[in-house]
Amino acid sequence: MVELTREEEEMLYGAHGEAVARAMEVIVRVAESLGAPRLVPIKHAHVSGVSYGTIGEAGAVLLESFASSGARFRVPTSVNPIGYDPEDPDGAGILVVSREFIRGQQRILKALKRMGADLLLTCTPYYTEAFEKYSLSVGDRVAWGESSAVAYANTVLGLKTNREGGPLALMAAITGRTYLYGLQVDENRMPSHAYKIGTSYDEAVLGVLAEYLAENHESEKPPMIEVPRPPRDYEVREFAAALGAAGSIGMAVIPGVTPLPKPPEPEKFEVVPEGALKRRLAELEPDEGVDLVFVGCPHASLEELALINARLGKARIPVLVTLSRDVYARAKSLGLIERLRSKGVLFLRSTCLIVSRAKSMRIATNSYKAYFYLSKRYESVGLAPLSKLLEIAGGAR
Amino acid sequence: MILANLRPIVPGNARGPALKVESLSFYGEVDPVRGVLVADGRPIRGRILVIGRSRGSTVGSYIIYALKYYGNEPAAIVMTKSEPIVITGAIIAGIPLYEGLPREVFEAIRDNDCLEVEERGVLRKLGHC
Repeated sequence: MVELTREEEEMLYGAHGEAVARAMEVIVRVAESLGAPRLVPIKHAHVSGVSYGTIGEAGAVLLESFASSGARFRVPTSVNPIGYDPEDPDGAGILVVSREFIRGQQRILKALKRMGADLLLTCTPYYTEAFEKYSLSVGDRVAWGESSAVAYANTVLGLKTNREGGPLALMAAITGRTYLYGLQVDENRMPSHAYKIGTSYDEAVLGVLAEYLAENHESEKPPMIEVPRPPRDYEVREFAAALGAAGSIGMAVIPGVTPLPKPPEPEKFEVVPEGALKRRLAELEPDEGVDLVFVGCPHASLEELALINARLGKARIPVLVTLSRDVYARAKSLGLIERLRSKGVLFLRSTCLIVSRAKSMRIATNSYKAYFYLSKRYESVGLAPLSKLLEIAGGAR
Repeated sequence: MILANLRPIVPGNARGPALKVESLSFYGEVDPVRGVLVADGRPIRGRILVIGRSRGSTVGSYIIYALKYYGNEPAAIVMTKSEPIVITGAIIAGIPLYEGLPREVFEAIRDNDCLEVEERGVLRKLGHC
């Protein structure tokens, strides 16, 4: 049985309205099914599954029904990317956006807003200035729905979250509670098995490493990753996203990156067979013809924009960067957007190629996650690190 | 004939022909608008959906709700072991959900067998629906 506080019982039995009761019922039943002893309060929620293209008419109606039956978010709640860029409905000439789609998407946004969401519309809320005001710190409990953000939160930010998925994160936002289970429990955050990778690596190598872990890491506890140099932030982000896409791992421990309450003492060590990673990378290499270079899955940081600006001459093949409205605005005030646009870089805010519909094309990306999802939709999707992508784009210095 | 005593998660009496699926991802493998399984076109409406294992994207919860929204929902969902995607979907859609179906009973159930499940969890096989 799940032990509930008096307030939680009141919520479950309808004292806070029908919507809260329904959301609480979901949380309690999931807790029972998982064998969680009790619920715990959260400080923040991040809701995914908000694109009209993904959840459709029924999803829109459900969110509207929650909003109109009085559901209000009890904790600060941010929201994932949507199916188009409201500031560029033509989608930079890449996306296919109908008027009906925009209407459906706007209804979803309205319902979320009514429940009190911060419409950050990004899968990297942690890069935004708005994120600062949530005042989250290491060890805080949150409930996040976006699997790439979940792995980043646990691995880099030291926040505790399970892989809630969109609907459960929504229920957690409405009740302010999650179940005490999995990565909410400290001992489950300590690695049991360490993986060492050899000399050189980049985000594409980490992408296929994530795939390797999805197949080979059998422990419920996070894998520990030892790398020969400290990773750049966007490399860890790509790794976290790849963990989320390739399998169900919600956290990794990277010494020097991951905040832990005590030093990790893994029981098993393994040197990852480098040949296997290299062979897999060679399989995923972009084909000869590429129509679009895609960066920013998950949404890009200022660091990457500066890096692209430093390394890219004039692009022969368009480079698409997807990012949050917030990072775009800050890059713009630094003059970065103008310079990058003049080099042939395209931008889409508040959306990405995974949650939108785009024209058919051959894509090269540095995101294993983008490769994983887009290769199911498009004929040719290749994976290569940013440095290689910029060469492909035709203007590497 | 009593087949099993199940654990109710969303209680509710239901009766209908079995729709048996070994493994199901609601997102991608169920068409909620047409109310069918994408792979083989079997209809879902009014049947007892018997699932061996569920997997896939959490958007699956919304697909279960979409089945209800389009009037194509199953009469009940019966599983060997429940998991968060289906629990969430069944509660928000108000579809009866039971877990704890023994593996050997799952194996013995045939598609279109007439099943009845009572809200306390008793699962029966009837002569015809």
